Amino acid sequence: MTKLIYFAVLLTSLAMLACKKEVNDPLPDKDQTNNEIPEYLAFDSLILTDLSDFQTTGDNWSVAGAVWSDYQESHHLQTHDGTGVLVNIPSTEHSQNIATKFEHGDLEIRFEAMIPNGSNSGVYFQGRYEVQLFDSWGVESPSFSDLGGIYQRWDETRPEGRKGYEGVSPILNAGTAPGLWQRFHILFRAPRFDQTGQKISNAKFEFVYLNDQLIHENVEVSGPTRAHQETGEAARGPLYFQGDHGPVAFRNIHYKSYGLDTLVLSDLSFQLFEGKYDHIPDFDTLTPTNTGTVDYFNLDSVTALSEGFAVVFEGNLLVPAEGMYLFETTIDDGGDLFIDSQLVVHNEGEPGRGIERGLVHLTKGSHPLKMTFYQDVWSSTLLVYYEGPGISRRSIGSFRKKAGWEIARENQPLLILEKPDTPALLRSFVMVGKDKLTHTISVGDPTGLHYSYDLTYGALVKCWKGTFADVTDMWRGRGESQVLQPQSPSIFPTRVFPLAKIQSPDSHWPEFDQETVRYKGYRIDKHGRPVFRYTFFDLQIEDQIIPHEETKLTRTISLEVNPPGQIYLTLGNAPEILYLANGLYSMDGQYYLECNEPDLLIRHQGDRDELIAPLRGISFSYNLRW
Amino acid sequence: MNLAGQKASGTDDANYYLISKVPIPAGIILEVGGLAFDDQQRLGVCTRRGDVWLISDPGSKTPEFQRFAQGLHEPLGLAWKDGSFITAQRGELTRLTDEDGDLKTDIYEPIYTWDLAGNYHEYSYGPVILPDGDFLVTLNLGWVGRGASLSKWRGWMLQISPSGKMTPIATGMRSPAGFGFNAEGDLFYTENQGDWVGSGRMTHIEKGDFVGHPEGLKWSSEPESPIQLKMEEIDDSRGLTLYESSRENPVIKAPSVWFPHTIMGISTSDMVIIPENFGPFTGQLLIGDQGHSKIMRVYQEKVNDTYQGICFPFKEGFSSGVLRLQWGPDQTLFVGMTNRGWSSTGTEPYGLEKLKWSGKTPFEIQRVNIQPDGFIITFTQPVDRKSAANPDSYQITDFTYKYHRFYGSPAIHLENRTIYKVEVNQDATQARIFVEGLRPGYVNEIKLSGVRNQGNQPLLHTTGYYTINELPGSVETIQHDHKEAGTIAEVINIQSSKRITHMPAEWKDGPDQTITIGTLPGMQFDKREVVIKAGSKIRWTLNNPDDMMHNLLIVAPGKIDEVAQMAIDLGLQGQEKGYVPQSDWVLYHTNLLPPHSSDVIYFVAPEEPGDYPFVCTFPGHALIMRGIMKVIPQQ
Repeated sequence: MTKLIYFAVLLTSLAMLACKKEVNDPLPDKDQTNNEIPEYLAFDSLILTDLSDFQTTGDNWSVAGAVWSDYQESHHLQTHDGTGVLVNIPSTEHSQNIATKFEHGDLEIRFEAMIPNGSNSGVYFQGRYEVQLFDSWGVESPSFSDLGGIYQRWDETRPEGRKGYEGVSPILNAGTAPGLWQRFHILFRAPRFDQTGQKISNAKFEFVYLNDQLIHENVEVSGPTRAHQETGEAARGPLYFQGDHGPVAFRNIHYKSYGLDTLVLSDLSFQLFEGKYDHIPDFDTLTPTNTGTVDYFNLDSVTALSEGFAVVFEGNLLVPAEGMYLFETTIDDGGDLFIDSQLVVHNEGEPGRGIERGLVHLTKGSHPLKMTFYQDVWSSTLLVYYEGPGISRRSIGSFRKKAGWEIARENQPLLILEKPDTPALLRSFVMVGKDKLTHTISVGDPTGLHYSYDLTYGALVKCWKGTFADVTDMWRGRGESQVLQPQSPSIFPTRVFPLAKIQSPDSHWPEFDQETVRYKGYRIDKHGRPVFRYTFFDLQIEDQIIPHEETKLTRTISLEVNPPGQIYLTLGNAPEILYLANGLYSMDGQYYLECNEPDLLIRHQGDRDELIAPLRGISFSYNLRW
Repeated sequence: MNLAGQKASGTDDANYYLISKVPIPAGIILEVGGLAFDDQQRLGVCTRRGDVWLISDPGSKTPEFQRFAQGLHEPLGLAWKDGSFITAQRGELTRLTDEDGDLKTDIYEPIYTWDLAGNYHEYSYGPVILPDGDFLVTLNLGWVGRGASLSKWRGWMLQISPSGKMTPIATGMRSPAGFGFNAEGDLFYTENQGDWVGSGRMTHIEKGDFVGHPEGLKWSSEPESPIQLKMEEIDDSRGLTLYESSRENPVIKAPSVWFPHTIMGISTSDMVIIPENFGPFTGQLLIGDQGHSKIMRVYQEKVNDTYQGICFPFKEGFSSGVLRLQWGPDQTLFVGMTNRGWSSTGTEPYGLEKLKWSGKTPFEIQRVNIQPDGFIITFTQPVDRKSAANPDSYQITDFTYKYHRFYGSPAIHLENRTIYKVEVNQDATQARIFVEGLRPGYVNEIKLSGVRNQGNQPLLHTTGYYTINELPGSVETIQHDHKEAGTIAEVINIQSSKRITHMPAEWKDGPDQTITIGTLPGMQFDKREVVIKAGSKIRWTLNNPDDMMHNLLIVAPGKIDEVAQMAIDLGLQGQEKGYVPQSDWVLYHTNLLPPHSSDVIYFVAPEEPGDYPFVCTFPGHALIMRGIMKVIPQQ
């Protein structure tokens, strides 16, 4: 009876796959001292207190505390003193690139880049293969030379007009406005060479995510791209950041450099135990019904049964390097992974398929491995992934048999609502982080700026651009998740009702109170857009969000009468809010907030900054840009 | 027993009630969730995709569609009151008002909002308007492998005033898609078979009632609750039926009418009162069925102040799943349909149809009234005295259902009742049948296959199902016999030589081939074809992750429809027999699988190559839920 949950969970994950979205999790602690097992091993970081992690370069590179940029001003980049941000402001005298001291082969990297209005930069893997950084705000069909493009190669000996070749456009423009932080996650595979130095495989971008959207998948590069910094092709090379084409800043540069080693599983034998199990059995009390050897956890070669059996696999694990290893099992229905007779991952598989992880320190050399497994009903899955020192996430010994319905689901096209001709309203469930909001409306606008609004709280929870929504999970079959999903990067402005009565600007923002804030529905204005209505104490409040010129959303909160004192309005919160100029705020570089109302105040609440203002008149407006 | 309760056995029923389509413009996905007329005789239709369409002149050949509202969250009911449409969305009762007369909603206003856990099965239905102007809504349970009340008041009927004051009325509901009043103004709701619900049914609702599914009792400790009963007090280990439980504890309400599963329908939906000039059934009720794309008819009476009554087949052949019924002008019944997620015998994905009376009177059982020692059966036409006075023209079998946490129930404790005397009244419109040993708490299958009218025609529908709660004049109504000993089995294990569930000992090398087939939501198998070698040893698994019951029969080439009909003809015994008919055409079969279970059978493939169909014979499924086992030569 627990299987349905499994079904629902899997549907959700399939839906996420279909949308090619990356779950943006915070990086785990480097020291991993807390007891929670991380989803991946910690990244190394480029220390941006100074430039000591980099090779000597020109004066155009420096370290700053905070940087900001006015999206309207060409090549504008301003810095505050401090550390943590790598900044390039080129001049006529100084316009060099910067290279890391470390050299890398395979490299997984996460970083954020800020590209000012009209600026141009790039990140060269091994100094040879460039992912382009460019202000491509508003570009509908990006090319290889737009943000996130894999730049073209160049050959002077080719005829005119054909000197540039290859180059791969991103799948979509997942970039936001100039001066905002663009978040990258890239897995680069270096070219491979045989013992004679002959190249046997090309360099490859296994994936590139920009702002959580997959923009490249398994893109090979036949050789160095245009304006490469290192000549030829080689197993290793430093990472370059381009500095000669315009101002740019980088922060949160975290990486894992991988070698060619892997774990090796050998001498694998199995014991089969036929019978009905609904949990991992005590194998010591059981007698196997069959034994033999296999190459991997291949259940098909162990038994013809598809249900009602358990297996113990035993073999040797050859460990190439000492260090901390993270193992992850995905099992339907359950099983345990032992190394050196020590339980590393317990996966009871309840309900249905479960994902579990374990950390273990392993020495170099051979270790006995034991994998137990039981299959109760339906599909069988036994996937084992690992990651280790200098070893990227890989699968070892894994076995997977998809159920027919899984295949059927995967082969169906998505139900997509395009940008509408007149405002489109649609209530649904909406995901914000891991929360499923249930009383939510999404509004699709002909301008291509769309948003989701939590009706209970009067909160503008999500904004995005482009195609209105993916409604597959609402309108296909029963619509098991009932979730409407954007198909482009979203910003998440706020989760709270915008108004509160507080004593002073320092007072704690009160919890939501159904007695004082009441949702009263929405009226439709003459353009077909909703105006949300609330009562707040005895005040009648209207809240409207109107897109302008395909670039900004204007939110206006209005009252019928002048408010009494001590009513404040919260415009949004973020880890860091920076005032730029002329009423422009950078909300942690994720989006811009523009507001020219008087007496705005950035205050620190918990671990976040919050932008608030006293409400004095009958109307209050601000704009969001991203 | 060989039931023909499904099919109209007399003259073609198209002579009496006529179905026609309301044409729907291209591009409009009219998955009907609710129907209501406004004060200008325009038909409002809310859809599962969240629109409200306003149809002008819906009875004409060229109705006009105008989108009145958009973006609602799967609204499953619609009403018109004081110049506004009112609809229940998943999480809110909403008033839709057009202020400027352009036939578009200007104000979307919540009347009352309730919590949601975010489970897809949290459907909300209504409103029905009470005489005092308040609204009634019902809240479906969520589904987590069983019905579950994951947020407050799920499994309840709520009363909501126009200003938003909420009063819980009753609970124990699982899937309360249809509810409304009978001609006397009493309130009823309809229910679907499922966990704790042995079969489809309707139940009279009064404030404070508990009607069967314990999940809603999660909220009975809330101060507003009119019910003090606790979930722990519902005990299915003693094997009591719902009727017996209701006689032990008056808070528990037994249904007024059971709709035997797969015989009368599989998913009960809306109910309406039959008006005058719609044939000879004025004041009775019509009840929709989504999965069988049909409408049933119900006659109820009050005995010892308790409702009970009889259901009959009425009209089948609608083009999609019948969810909503709404009377329009000129006694036209508008039938709103959708089958998304739950397939129906009418294979269209959605639609809107009209049902009209031709003016001809069918030969039908008009009603059945209980007597202390039998029934009075009233006919729509005078009967042929000879056939009607012959006790052999009548058969009665009574049975009941289990009340337990498992999904559905077979018909249990079946007994044939002896009809020892029949009297026909003077004008030959009524037969008084005298029956031995009527049992309160039982459903009586009353079958009149021998009765003819004066034109020697049989009844259009020969069979009805009368639920006895009370016998007139009876005091002691509890039956203490027939309780089952021991625990209740969830699955009936069908013992059959065609269902070998252990690998034959002589298969020393195991099976030659293993086939695994699963079910998909919407009555499908996940494979359309499997290929096996003639004479090979086969291990065949059927997995049922769906939330309906299914089986799988492998049948002789070309005999799929015959076998499917034989399964339907098993009638009341169908579920007990797993819908596996006794026939040489049935080669191998699985058990009838409840949701979230599986079955494994072993067999040796036929020696004769060919296309052997496999099919689910659960009534209503066979038409689409089928595939081919291709047997190829050994070499």
